[in-house]
Amino acid sequence: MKTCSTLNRVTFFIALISIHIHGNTQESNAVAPSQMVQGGVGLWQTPTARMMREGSQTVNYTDNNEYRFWSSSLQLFPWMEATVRYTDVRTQLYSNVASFSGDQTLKDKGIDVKFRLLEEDYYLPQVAMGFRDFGGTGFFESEFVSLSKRVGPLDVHLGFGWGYLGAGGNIRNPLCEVADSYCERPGGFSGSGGKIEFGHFFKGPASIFGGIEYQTPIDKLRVKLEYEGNDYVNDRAGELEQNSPWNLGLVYEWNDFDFNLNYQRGNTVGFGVTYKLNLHTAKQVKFDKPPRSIEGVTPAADMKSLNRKRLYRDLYLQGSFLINYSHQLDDEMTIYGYQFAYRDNDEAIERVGRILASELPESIKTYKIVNNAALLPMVETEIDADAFKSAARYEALEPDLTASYQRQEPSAETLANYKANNTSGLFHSVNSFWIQTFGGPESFYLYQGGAILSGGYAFNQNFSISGGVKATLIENFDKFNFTTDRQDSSLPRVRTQVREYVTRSKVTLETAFLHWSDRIAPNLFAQAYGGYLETMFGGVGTELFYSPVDSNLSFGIDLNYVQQRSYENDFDFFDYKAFTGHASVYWRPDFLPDTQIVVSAGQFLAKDKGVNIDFAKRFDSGIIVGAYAAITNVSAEEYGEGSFTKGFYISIPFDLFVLKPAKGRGKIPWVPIGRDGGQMLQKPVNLIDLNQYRSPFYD
Amino acid sequence: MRVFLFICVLGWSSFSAASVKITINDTVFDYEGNPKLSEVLEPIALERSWYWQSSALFRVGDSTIDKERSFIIEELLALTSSLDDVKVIRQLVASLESWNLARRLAIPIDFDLARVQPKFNPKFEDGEYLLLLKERVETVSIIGLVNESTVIEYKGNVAAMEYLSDIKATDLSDKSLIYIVQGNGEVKKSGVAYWNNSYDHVMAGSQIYIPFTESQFSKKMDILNMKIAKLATNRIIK
Repeated sequence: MKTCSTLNRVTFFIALISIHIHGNTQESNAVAPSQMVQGGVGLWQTPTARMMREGSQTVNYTDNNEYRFWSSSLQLFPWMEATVRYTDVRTQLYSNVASFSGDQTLKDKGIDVKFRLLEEDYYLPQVAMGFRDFGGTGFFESEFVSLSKRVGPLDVHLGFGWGYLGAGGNIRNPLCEVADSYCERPGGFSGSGGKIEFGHFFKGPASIFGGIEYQTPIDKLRVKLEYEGNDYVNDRAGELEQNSPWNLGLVYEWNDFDFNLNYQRGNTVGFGVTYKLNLHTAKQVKFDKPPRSIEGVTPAADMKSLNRKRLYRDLYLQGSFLINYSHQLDDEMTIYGYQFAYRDNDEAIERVGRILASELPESIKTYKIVNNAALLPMVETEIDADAFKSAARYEALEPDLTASYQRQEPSAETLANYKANNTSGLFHSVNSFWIQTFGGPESFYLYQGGAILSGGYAFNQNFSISGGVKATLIENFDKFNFTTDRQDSSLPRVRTQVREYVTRSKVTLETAFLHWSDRIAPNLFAQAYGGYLETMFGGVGTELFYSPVDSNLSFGIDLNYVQQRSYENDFDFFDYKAFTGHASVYWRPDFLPDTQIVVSAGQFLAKDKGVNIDFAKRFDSGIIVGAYAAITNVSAEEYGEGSFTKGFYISIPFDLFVLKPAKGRGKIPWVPIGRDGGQMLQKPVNLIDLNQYRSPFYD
Repeated sequence: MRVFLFICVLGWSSFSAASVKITINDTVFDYEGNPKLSEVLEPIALERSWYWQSSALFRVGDSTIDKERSFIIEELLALTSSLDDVKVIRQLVASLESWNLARRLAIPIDFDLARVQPKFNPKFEDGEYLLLLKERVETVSIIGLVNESTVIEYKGNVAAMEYLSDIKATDLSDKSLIYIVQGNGEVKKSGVAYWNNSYDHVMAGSQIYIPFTESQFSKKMDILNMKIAKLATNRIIK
């Protein structure tokens, strides 16, 4: 139920509107794919075999008299489309208990997925198979197979559906001929909902459906005609009158929007709007100077005459590199510091390298740029100065700047030479946060926003004390009519008292802890921490993390002994204590480009044992979309609503929202149901974050 | 004395030999240093109304392209055992063998661009080059799985599929695809059948490669087609 985002810039949402979108341009007289009423590519009520371009995402709103749908569809791979949806049933109340949900109408959420089985070619249609609302309690649970064939400006579709799509039963279910068990569709759902109901699939009434889409001679206008296989007798909104199985409508494209108007069931007018973007090609206009030219520059004659002040200032102002320490030999210069703006490593190296090349004397033949994280050297980029300068001056017809340097684990010599400056002292930061809940009984949208003020004191390069205070500035959580649900729970309430924690006070102590971290061997990092570790738990813990530079495989292990914090004040603890920790493997398989799979096995906060699997896909813009699920030894009944922990998230680089290059990200999770099983400790510092320097996946 | 004379001759030769030799169309230019592109273009840039998009620079004496051609021909000949129309494949092989090839450098040749932006004004390394500057031609070449490679009239601002009516494709060719080898060296796959036609523009002076039939179940022919289309970008067409 709970979704939250912690964003480093308050401007995030304001800047959202300024993203510059490319793509989704229509080519030829082909009918561009458009969204159906419930989200996902299709006609009006029925899906087709068509897919959007990889990386395309839509945000859709449709009004269908009895129903309103909010949905978002994403083309995750060329062969896979995923859709999430909230449904507002206008004819039904959320509950019959006014004190619980007032006069709010019924809401439901759903997830659809569609896979392309066969691509269209000269003779064969495109074929796809999909599963709609397969989460167990779905109003629209369906399975289908669709075929699509284009003939010039016409796209012709034929489909075969079970469940909601086939409810009219206009043909006999062919699988019923094979086995009697396929003749009836079981009702209800197993466990506590939230599980994929494989036992329902392809059972009960079945229908054929289909239709055509036509790209009119008016460039932006498309017509969609559909014959559907649903009879609306057993609809969640009540039985709906259907005068005709034919649905007809228009789709008009305007910039990044599709507007549609349709006439359904022979008696209902519907309309909708779709906003389209592409996660591969989304980018932002930048106001930034080009990398420094080194044509005709006069570098220092020798190291003695080097203007270091100017060099360091230019590295900061023009290269966005905050230098911490430098070391020089007769023919080599090493700079240690932090790249704070350019998320593309090659661009960062080019900008910093050009500044070094224009200032350092010709006698320096090797530049080493060492990127630090929390004062620890993470990765070393060794540049062959002569080759770099030659390429930067375009002294070859096909110059390749990237061939002049290589990234590597900092050498023993590089580490030994590092004498970090400013290792002790105060530090502070301000982050914004945004917590939101969709589909709650009190109101469809509940939110809380404000600032997290963090600060601390570093004793040395490795050891610090720090903390964060959360200050709520805007919220409507005062609408909560309960703070702890009344569901029976056999598990310790490690997360389901979240409402207590977030509503106790406008100002709360989020974290306060001692922290130590270091590199303890080549490619091996360690940390230990103790104190108030997160909103709901305090304790002690340690983590080891092994990550070779630019490797597609990393390993981590963490162990924690924690006690539940009180929600009644900032400092006390409840009695509940637990060991929790996981061994994790981080893997980027070659066969799924730009994808990271994290498998974490161990004991969770409620002392349940199992595995958490996280799957993330990165798009060219840097936007990452991920999903995770925790499968533990807690039964679906013990777990409660949702049956097991699962969630989704989208991580967006700030660089896409600001006019200057920027690092950093905002992560927006969407957790359909959050219960107590399969819950991991939110460690205050994660060593996997170091991997963003050493083997970047995020940036 | 003879030895001394020989050394003198050698010394004179190396002193006088230009480090960069560029044949611009049919005229040979020797440069003692390493000129920038704009310096090379300057004397002839305004001579005629050059169609810069089709101008191309080749590195002479780079054997990698000939090796690439040999590999492709080997692959084609291997196909004769599995495909029916041996004659068409042998025709394609003969066509490839007749191509005058040199390695085309992937840089735009444009006098204005070179004068304005340093990255489009690179320096020539030592070596021998061929620089082909052309005025806009009103033709398009058809290559690949056709009964005969042909040159047809350029049709202006129309979709690539408009050229198909002039082409007699063979049974081995893909009914749905062509590869456009644009004059600027870009290669683009374009749908041309009833189910996938698209409005891809063809530049004047481009080549259209009629490919082998591709399959969604195996990338073998896609890869071979792309290799042939890319090889065609290295053709010296005067």
